[in-house]
Amino acid sequence: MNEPIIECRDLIKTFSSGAEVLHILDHADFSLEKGKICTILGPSGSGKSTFLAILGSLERFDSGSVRVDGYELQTLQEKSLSVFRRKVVGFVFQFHFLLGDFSALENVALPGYMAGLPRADAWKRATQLLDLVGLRNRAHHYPSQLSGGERQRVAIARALINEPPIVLADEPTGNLDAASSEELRSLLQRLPEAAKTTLVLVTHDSELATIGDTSFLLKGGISNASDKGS
Amino acid sequence: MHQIKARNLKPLFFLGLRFLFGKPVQNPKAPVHRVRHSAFWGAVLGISVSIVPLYIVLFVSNGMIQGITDRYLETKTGHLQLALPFTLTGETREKLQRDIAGLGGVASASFEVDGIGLAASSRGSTSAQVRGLDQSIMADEGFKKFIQTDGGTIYPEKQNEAVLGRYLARALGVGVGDTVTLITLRDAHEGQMLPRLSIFRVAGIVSSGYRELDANWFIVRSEAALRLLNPSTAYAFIGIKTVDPYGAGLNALASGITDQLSQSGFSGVQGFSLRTWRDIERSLFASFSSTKSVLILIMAIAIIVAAVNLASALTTYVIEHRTEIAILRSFGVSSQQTASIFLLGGAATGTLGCIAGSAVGIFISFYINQILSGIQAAINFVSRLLAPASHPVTLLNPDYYLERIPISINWDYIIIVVGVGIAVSALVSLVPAVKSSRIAPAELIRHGQ
Ligand SMILES: Nc1ncnc2c1ncn2[C@@H]1O[C@H](COP(=O)(O)OP(=O)(O)OP(=O)(O)O)[C@@H](O)[C@H]1O
Ligand SMILES: [Mg+2]
Repeated sequence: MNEPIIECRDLIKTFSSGAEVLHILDHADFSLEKGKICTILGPSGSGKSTFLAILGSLERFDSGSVRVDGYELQTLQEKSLSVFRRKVVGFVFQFHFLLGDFSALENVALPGYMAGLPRADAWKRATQLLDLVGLRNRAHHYPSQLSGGERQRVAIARALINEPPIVLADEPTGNLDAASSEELRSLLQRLPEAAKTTLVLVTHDSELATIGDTSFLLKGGISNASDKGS
Repeated sequence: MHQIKARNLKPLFFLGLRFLFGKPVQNPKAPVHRVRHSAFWGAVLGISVSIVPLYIVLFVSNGMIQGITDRYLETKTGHLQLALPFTLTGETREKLQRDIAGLGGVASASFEVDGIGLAASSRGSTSAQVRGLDQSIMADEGFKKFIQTDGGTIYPEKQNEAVLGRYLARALGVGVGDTVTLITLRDAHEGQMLPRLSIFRVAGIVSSGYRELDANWFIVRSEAALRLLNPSTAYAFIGIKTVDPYGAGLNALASGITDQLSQSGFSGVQGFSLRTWRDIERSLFASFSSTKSVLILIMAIAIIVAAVNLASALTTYVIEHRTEIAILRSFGVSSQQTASIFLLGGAATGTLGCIAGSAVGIFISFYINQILSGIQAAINFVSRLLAPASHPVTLLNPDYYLERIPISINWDYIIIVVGVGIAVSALVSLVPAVKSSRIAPAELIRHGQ
């Protein structure tokens, strides 16, 4: 058995609006092995995005422990969280969130450049990643000149620039048509191999859900729904 | 401590420049149709526009004050004044004047006796400030430099000749060659006063360029003034010019003159006293500097307003680009890094604004006389077209201002204005910087839901 790359113990997350307290995660446990694809399913509003954001340190949690690639997230201060975000995780959201003033190539290179990679290296690596997602010929296009599926592939390339051990994707095909979803699905499936990373994938898309090695259901807690792996 | 290294700054510049200016227009591979309008140039313009009047006010008020001060010093008070007893005999006085003129650092020394009289002509009468000048004044380069003549000479050659200030001559309606009557009071006996009438021929009409100063000048020879003026109200002195009236040497020279006085045996004698120009015109210069402070204060407020505009432009930018900032944060750009972008952006905006504003402000100040006379000519041209009988307009009323503003560009001011401008811009940029650092990447999760 490999040491899990993600491990959550007794995780509690609530949202309170006024007097009402919303229990999203109630003493949830979760662990995931390195190099796998893990899908997270659950009804709308069950807290899938919130859980993913906790794993990526975008969202704080109430109590419990979350260890991601050796980082104990509950102990980290804001400053160390930036370091964690640039070294450990790559995010892909439902919306592409590319920067409109930057070309596809620059969008991919930017997180690397900001993380301290020399400019030439960042641009070179970005070109390779655009190659990986099949968009080398669109390097100098701006997001407004790309299709929805292409933007999402650029976003995936961007998530990989700092060679993160974990990629977190939140409904990446949520806004795409069937053909684009299909392309994206095969790209995501290749990801652990091609980029040596672990993929945590939240999706409603039953087609996309099939690529998972393991699958979890989120509903108050987290339960293992299927296990095709080990 | 977080260290800022050049290597870490480069990506910030890359990001900041793109944020400020939007994406590049030229791109051969993919022509861009839409370029975002950047708030940057508006903010630069705002700052430079507020800086321009600051320079004009600084240089004009400074030039005015310098010009007026020079005229007072060179044509009226001198740099040092040694008051003398009215009764001092001519020989003693001349020897003292020669001794002082011989001291190191003294450029010239000239006896003068001043008093009040009433000048009259067939057209009217007005009070006159009688200045009895010794002919040694003609050796005074400063005096000759600042006295302009409207006609005739600047120094009366004969006992019965007078040189009038421009506005006194106008009030009396006289020109060169006309005669004027001067009425002075002299002691008769037992405290009685008797008017004394003297007739002078106008030998010249002069102006110092500053009306306040020379409006009532009635210049005669000192011998004539000694005869006409009342010893109890007249003021006799030796006006002394130095090489540098603004330098520290003035006080050293003053003590040199005091030594000379005691050598000549006048120490402690009633009626002698030595004052510098700063003592003599103290209240005048105090009012100059307070006027200048008020003007600078007003201008400083204008700069603060521009800086607040900059801060609000940048803050609006931050608010409009929350999502982009959250995106940066989601891939590990720290809040310090995003804050630095806005801090650098604000400082860069301020720097450009200050430099542009300084260039324009200095240029306008330099050509202010030409610009003002151009505007004046334009106004008069238009008003003559509209109302042919109207009086010509004078923008700078010579009653209060010099007719021509002497501008000298002072580098200290420029350095201070640019330095303060940049510092204030950076300071107000703290507001958008702090605001940007509070944007959390969690915003992206529920974007548009
Ligand atoms: N900041 C917040 N304050 C209060 N409630 C919140 C906040 N953020 C999320 N919630 C609530 O938490 C619950 C979980 O939200 P989340 O976005 O994680 O659900 P989800 O499983 O991703 O849903 P979907 O499938 O629709 O994307 C929702 O009911 C949401 O309304
Ligand atoms: Mg969601």
